[in-house]
Amino acid sequence: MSAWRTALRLEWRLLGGARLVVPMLLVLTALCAAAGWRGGTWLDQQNGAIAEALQRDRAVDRDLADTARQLNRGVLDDVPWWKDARGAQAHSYLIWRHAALPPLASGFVAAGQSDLQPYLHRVLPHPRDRWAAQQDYAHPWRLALGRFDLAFIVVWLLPLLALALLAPSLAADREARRLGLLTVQAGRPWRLVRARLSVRVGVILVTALAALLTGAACSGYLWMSTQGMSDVALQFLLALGYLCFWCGLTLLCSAWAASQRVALLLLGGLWLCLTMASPLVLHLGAELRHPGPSPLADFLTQRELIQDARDREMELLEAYLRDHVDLAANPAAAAMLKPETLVITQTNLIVDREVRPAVRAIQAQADALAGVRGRSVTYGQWLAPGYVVWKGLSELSGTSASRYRAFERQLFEYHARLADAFFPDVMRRATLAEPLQAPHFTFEELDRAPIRYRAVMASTTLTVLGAGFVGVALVVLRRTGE
Amino acid sequence: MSPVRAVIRKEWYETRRTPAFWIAAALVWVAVLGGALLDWRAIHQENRARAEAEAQERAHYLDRPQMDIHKYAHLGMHVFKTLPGTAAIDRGVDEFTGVAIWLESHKPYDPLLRAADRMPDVHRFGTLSAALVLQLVAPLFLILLGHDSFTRERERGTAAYSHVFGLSTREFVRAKLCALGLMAALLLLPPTLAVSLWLASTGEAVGITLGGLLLVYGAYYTLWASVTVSLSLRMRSGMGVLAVLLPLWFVNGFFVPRVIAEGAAVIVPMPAASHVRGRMMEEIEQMDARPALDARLASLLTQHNVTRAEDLPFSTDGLQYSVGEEIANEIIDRHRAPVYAALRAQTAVLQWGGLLSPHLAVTQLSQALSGTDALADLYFVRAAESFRRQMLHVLNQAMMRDKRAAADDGALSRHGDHEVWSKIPAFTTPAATTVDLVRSYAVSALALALWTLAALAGVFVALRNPRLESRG
Repeated sequence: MSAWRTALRLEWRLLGGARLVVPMLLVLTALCAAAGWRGGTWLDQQNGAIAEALQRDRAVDRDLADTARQLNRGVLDDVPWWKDARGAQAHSYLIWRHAALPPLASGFVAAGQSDLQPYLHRVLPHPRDRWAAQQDYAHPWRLALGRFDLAFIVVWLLPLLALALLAPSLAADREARRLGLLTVQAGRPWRLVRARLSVRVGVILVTALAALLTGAACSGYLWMSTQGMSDVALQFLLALGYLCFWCGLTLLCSAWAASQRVALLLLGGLWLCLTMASPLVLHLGAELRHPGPSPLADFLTQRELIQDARDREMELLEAYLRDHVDLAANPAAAAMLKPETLVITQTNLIVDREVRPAVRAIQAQADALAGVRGRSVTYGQWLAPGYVVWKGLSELSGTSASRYRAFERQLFEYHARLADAFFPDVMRRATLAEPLQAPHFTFEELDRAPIRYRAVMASTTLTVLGAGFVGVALVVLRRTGE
Repeated sequence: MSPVRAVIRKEWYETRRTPAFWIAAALVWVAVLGGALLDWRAIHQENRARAEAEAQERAHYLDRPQMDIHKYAHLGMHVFKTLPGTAAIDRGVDEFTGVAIWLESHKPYDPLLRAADRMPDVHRFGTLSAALVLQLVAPLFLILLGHDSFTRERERGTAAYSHVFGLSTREFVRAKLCALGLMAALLLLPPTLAVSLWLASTGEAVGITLGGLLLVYGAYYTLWASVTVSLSLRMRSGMGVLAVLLPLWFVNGFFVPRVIAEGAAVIVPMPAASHVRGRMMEEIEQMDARPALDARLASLLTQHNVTRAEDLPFSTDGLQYSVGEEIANEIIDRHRAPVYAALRAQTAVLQWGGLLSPHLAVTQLSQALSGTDALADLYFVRAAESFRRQMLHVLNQAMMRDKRAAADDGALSRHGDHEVWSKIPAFTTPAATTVDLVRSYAVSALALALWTLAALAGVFVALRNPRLESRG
């Protein structure tokens, strides 16, 4: 039997053999399976809600058309204006257009911002504060803690696997005063490290990969689409890169530390810093460096604008009718200017139209601030490799903040289009045909190439860093010896 | 000097010569004070902005000119949640709940303006706060300080010397526990007292809250100190104690809470918002109030002994809206009930989860005492809905006023003015009473008490057969 194989067998025995590896694999696989299943359930819930909403959109269109036909034939009794399907004014309350952000097939890996940001809006032509649908219901505790997803396992648990299996290796040898002997027997430090790494890192990577694959399979979304599969493959690549980083770092600490205890404390501290403390510092830094107006300040500005327009709503209606001669000739439009008329829809629409440019500017400013803060975090992100990986997994899952911001921007423009399509019809009290042709929303997906490129680069950087740490560990071993 | 005091002095002498202790102490002080200061500043600014917004909304609401009362009800208003000053100690789930609710006729709306929606995504890793340090970092320092309190003596072979001074094992352990408690107090008391004094100086009524928090955190640290000392008494080496306690700390603080929160969602699934809201709005928009209105009119006609609605002494304009609101309220309650029930049931699961992770129990109690828990948000939502109904009742009643009075005013009976608008009271954020807190969080308190008692019992068990002598 060659020396290499003997070293491998010895290392396997030192590691505890199948007695340690099998339970570890089982536990990790069970956790990944549970996380994958929950991720799949969350995707099912989103897809189900979107399908139901779109079905309801179609049903509403159909019902309104039916009711209008019956009203035209005089089958139905007289109905109040807000239910009269012949009028666009009633439609402004009755017709809904759902705007949805469809989840990606790889979304089960990382919940990202998907539990926080709305993915479905029930859009009315009325101003936005009149829409019903905003965020999904969730216990705030669950939001504060975050989901139990595969990203959680990758970012927080997998490094602990590397720590548990690799930390005692060289430090224990040094503590037992056998490190020098082993190095002499191996010939060179590299051979010793290679034997150690081959078995332990092999066990870590194989265990992690098997568990993650099981988790992905349990989600039920792994085989959904080729694009989804390639995204999941990239996510696994990123996870493995992160593991390589931790394996390298652990080996370095193990090679440097005088005892197992020092190695364990050092690595525990590093784990705490890199996965917990540095993201906190990044967040704090971004908030302190770029303090912006609170959401409430923006809200107050918008409310001021709305109230101001609300005070002038009749003037604005008159001006609108002056600018649209064809509408002004309509008796229904002229009747709206009488004080005893209950005008709600028209004034809502005219106020919304008046404040829209200013609101767009406020939102653009808020978006710009979010961008600046995001960039500020990105500059320092390598202080927190855990955050880099979490962000990469979220981007590939389609649950990153940038995708939701894009959805918000598209939604704002869509709402403007919908309101503009409705407004003349409402003023005319037009019949059904026009409102039913109001545009539908389709999300324009972001370009995925830069996201994939970033993921590959992050994975490569982490792997290279891990390899670098192994190199430094060899130098440390050569210099310090016993 | 008594031998017990001598041991405490010796422990203190050793600890104060350790630079790591002072670094840890500085970190804790800076983090607790810094976190509390940042949170207090944020809360102060937020509350000021919310009060300003509330005042602005109310001013607009009262200043509106004479107009159709129902239109007025549709123009609506926002109400805002205010945070207690104690939220500086624990922001709880406040950033993940909305701070404003839009109130309008017929329709209910969910809370708006969650702070977390606008924060960078790195926020999901947590924020620096006094609560984070008190709940996660402080137990870690207790472990690091106390893990080798006995194993060190054993490894050095110095435990036997304690008997020379006439110290029994029990006294020796008591001295060690006291020393650990003093060091923990040195780490935590100065910043906590500073924050308390500072909050008290701002005029906040924080007595009960701070007393409660002191009790909760005291129990939690007793628990960790006891577990650390028991293990140190029983295990062979400090390394072994760390190998047990560090994973325990991780499982207790990170893993179990997340798993239990996920488990709560599996056991009691929350209804999909789009489904609930969609059905609710659909029913409200399609509701037919006519049969109920006819029945109500018939009863009023009999009551006033007239045959036609026009002969009633008041306008029936408001009646149709009033009946409509009653039907809409029934629809809202029916659709929202499962959501509230799920929220309460999930909170209950999380509380029972305290039996698996004391961190969960402490966090929930700390948030509840600081007024930033999930139930405080639920109170706000329900209070806002109740206020909406009260507001619409006032408006609809105003619409039903005496016809003759309306004719004397020369106004249309449906129209209202400042006199009507000013009848609507101001909204105040409700706060949970002590009884509410005790009732809502009894399970968490019980879980923490059980854990602490079990840990203390562990010390007594370990004392029966301590491993103080060196085996080597």
